[in-house]
Amino acid sequence: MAEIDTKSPSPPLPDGIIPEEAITRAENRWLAIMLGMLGVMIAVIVVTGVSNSLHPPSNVETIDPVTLHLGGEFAENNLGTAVDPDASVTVRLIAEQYAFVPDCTRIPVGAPVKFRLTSTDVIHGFLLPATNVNTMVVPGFIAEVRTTFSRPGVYNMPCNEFCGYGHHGMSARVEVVPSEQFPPQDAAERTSCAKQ
Amino acid sequence: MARDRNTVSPINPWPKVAWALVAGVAVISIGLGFGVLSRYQQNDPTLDLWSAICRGLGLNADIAPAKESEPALRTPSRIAWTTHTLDQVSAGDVRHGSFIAMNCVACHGQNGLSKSTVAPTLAGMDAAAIFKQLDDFRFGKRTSGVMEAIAKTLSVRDSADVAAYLAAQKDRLPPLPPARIPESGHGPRESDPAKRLVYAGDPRRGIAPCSSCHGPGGYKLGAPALHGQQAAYIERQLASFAQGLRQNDIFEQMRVIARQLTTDEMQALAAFYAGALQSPPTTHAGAHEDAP
Ligand code: HEC
Ligand code: HEC
Ligand SMILES: [Cu+2]
Repeated sequence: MAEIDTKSPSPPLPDGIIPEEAITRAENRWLAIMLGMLGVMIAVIVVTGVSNSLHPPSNVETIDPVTLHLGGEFAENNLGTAVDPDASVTVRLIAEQYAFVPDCTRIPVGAPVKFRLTSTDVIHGFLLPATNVNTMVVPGFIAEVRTTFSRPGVYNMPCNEFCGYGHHGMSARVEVVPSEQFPPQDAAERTSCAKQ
Repeated sequence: MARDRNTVSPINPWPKVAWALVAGVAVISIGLGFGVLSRYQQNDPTLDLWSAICRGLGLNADIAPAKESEPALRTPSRIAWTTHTLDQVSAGDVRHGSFIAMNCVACHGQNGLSKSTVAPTLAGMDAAAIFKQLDDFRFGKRTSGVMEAIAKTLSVRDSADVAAYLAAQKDRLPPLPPARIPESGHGPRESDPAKRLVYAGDPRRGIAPCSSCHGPGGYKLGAPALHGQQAAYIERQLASFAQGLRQNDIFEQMRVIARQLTTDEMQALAAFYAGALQSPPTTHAGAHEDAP
């Protein structure tokens, strides 16, 4: 009797109790579905990140936010677009309550662009719609973003991080122009389209 | 039953496997995040691996950006709002300041209440703002024949003292009318252009409301309160900022804004701030009588 018992299927369980094997199967199915969903979500993040080149910043550079104007990289006349020897451009901007300086930036189309920004007071946000440029600008740190504009046009850059009473008035422009409209300039020259 | 016993038995390998997996993921992420990313994602190709990793970690092994030619330096002001500067300002001695201020009466009026359209009212102006302007005059960062000469006769201590004295004359300003109180309902659709700029700014031109820095509402260090200032003086300063004749505002705070203003707007703004003192709008007075 005992032998037969172990081989035969377990006796029917009372109503409402599900056999362990059935539970395991259901659990495994849901585990697979859950892992599949996680995989899809991670893939979406990785694929969009890589294909749109949305980089997380990997650079930590610090700077004293209250003495920017006394000299160094973010001194007043070093702001704006600089053309590097390899024809790439570096754009330096200050974000402050409640303006970007310079408030209009001119960039040649197709050139590799490096934006370097820093804040003088609170956290601001720098975002160019329809591009991969979107970074927080934190006082004490230099934010760096790289991009290339493939089409000429005007991009508006509203501050997208609430920065105080006048936040809604804080916006500026990036003008991407054909290279003929961007005259060659000296290494020590800085351009912008801010009214002078 | 058999399974339950298995999970607690010491020979179950799964906890070890799980820990190894977690540790592996951590090591790989750290390597990717701080090593590979720091090295290959961006930044200067001249960075060697070690400095790239240090930068990624925030341990600036090399803070200086790549050396390149920079235009000649022009500093708008020697003043930076460091704690040292703020300590100098707050050390101002009102009593000594009151003696120095006697030299200012001829132009800036008794107790700093100017009657002239040329010299501004200084009574009640923020001490830090006065201190900064005096330093700018002293070093030619802000031009003015008379004030540059006068500021050169004052030491840093004297400037702090006279600034403290003038700032303390707030009560001597005639009582300000209710226009000083932030009124609700002044939005971007306000028809009066001055009020619109003061309370709402003009986002399309990138103009923040004047009240976000000059009050009422928000105050920015170094921005003088403008209520009750001489209209002609305000207008002249706005025009100087716009034309670049005055360039002593730190980080171009005022130049960025003034360049966007039309001459009509400058006039309207000057009249608005000056009018706040000279002709109280009696129509509002009743409504705000009990306001603090
Ligand atoms: C000879 C007349 C004269 C005397 C005396 C004089 N000032 Fe002035 N002050 C002026 C004028 C004019 C201006 C406006 C300059 C301008 O338009 O840029 C001015 C501007 C200023 C400003 C800038 C105010 C602002 O709103 O930015 C300060 C601060 C100041 N004076 C302080 C003083 C102090 C302190 C004294 C006394 C030690 C003094 N002045 C004496 C004529 C004078
Ligand atoms: C981002 C903040 C900010 C905003 C917004 C702003 N200002 Fe200013 N303003 C300043 C600062 C800071 C100064 C002092 C500049 C300096 O240090 O010389 C100043 C100076 C001035 C002066 C000269 C005052 C003096 O006594 O010398 C006038 C006039 C003025 N602002 C008018 C305006 C008007 C009008 C508006 C609105 C259209 C405005 N400001 C908006 C920050 C601001
Ligand atoms: Cu902002």
